[in-house]
Amino acid sequence: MRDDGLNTLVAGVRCRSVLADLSDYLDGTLAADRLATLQAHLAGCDRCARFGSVAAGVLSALRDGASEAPALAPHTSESLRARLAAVMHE
Amino acid sequence: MEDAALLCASAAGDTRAFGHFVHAHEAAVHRYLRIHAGPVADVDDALQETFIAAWRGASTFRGPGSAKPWLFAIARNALRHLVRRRVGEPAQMESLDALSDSGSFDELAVEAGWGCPADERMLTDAALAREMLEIAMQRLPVEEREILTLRELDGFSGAETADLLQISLPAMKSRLHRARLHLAASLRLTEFPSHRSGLHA
Repeated sequence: MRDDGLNTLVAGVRCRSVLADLSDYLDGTLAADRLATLQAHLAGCDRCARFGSVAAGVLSALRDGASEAPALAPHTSESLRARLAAVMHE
Repeated sequence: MEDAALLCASAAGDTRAFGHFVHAHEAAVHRYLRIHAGPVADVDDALQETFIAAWRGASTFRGPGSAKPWLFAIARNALRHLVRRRVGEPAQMESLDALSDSGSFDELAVEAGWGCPADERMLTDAALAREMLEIAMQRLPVEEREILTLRELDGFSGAETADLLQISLPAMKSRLHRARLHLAASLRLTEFPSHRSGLHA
């Protein structure tokens, strides 16, 4: 097995195991016992803590940057309304 | 007025109520279609087909609550039909070949920058981050763009997303995790926008 340091054991859990749980952690859906283990690992593992921050930052930028969808272009809006008007009055 | 009331009135032929419903959802549906379909034309066609189907099927909505999952399921079908209509065009859009499709999560995390210094540009410049994210998103496989759009941009819950995609909740979580890691990996490969380089050189 390739070892990029992913088998490093911190607070009783390996980095690869933390990475598998990262999405659940970021979504706040990790079970309480797994959460405590993961937090203990992050407190002692710079690589996982840094990566977790970057991943959280990327998701935050994605959500913040697009919380509201941009308005339709005028031609898109006009053709939608024209088509709907024709259908609704069939 | 809530979606259920608007659609109930629409089902009874109230075109004005349906106009309000369209106004409330058209931008989100259009964004979903655009990101899902990738850089292709005819998204406007799919948008029109979506709302025509919603008008004709308004009585099938079972509220209460937002009609967004119901509407997005219609949009998804509209897009599927559109792609099928195109002769010789693959249903799957371009993906980032450099990213592995079947790697384990930890291998993907290494591609996404685990163990490397953080890219400070993303953390300090929100406008730049948005710009680079848009580019990075377009490189992802269509399924991953779709799940990121639903979960991160449109705020669908895990259960709503799984339902819409017709997959199990564990499968949805797995796809989402892979998509997030691929997005981070794609960002690392995204060139610094040239018109911004002067600010950060």
